[in-house]
Amino acid sequence: MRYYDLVAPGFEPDPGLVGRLGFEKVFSCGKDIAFLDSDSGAVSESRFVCAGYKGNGMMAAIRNGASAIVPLGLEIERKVAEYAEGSETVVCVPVSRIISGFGFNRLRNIGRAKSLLRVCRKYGTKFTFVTFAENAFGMLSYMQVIEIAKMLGASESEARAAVSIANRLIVTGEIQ
Amino acid sequence: MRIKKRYLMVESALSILDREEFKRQFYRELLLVLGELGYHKVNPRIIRFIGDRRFVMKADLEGVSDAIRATALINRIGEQNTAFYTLGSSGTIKALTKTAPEDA
Repeated sequence: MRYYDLVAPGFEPDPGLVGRLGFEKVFSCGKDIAFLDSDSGAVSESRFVCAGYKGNGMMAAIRNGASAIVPLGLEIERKVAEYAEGSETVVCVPVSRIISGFGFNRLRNIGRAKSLLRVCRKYGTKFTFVTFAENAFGMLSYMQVIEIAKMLGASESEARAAVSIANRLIVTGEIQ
Repeated sequence: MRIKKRYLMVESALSILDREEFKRQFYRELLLVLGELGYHKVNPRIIRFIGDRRFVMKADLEGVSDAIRATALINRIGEQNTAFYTLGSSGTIKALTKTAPEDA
């Protein structure tokens, strides 16, 4: 099985590290796929990733056909999840946001991510797991991403499919 | 009955200078992340250092998932920010070095 990852704009991981982590390719937002900050503007590309905190911006991105939305606050409003259900938009869980921090802050983020997954399941929204790392300290191996996904409540097969097929699909739009 | 073990190849984002001090700090961070019961379940041991960044960690089979999660969650050693990547896991060290080659 081939695994893929998505990282934050402005960060290009070392190709040697990418290979060691077990990923076939790590896609960089803004380079491999257009990137939109949910707080501002719009993009003209057909495939783009939207990341941010605001629900309204994400709603607009889904309406404009975003390939994926990345809720950086690890929260998603129910209406956004409901709206994403009928679209092709995938909700990406940014794992680097969960592993950063320490103690109660991290516990709060883990709780939020679990809740995010629960909402996605409830409304039938497609979800996937990406590191969305901003630097090398935020990167993880594919094994670690899968284990974190399982910790959040995904099954083994769901986690593996998300890290392999779904992550590639977001960027290329084609099934391998 | 013999307890089954798994070996994990772990890479540090930063160079490991003082190995004994690193071991102490790493076990301390593992204990913080896993808690006493989790630590007992994982039963981690660093058994070999490879180069200045990699090491082989032994864990009980039933706690191997927790061990992988714990390495993902450790983001500092002492006062320094760092990251740990689990490159592979195997039942024997020989097979582990095949799945995660030492010279990669």
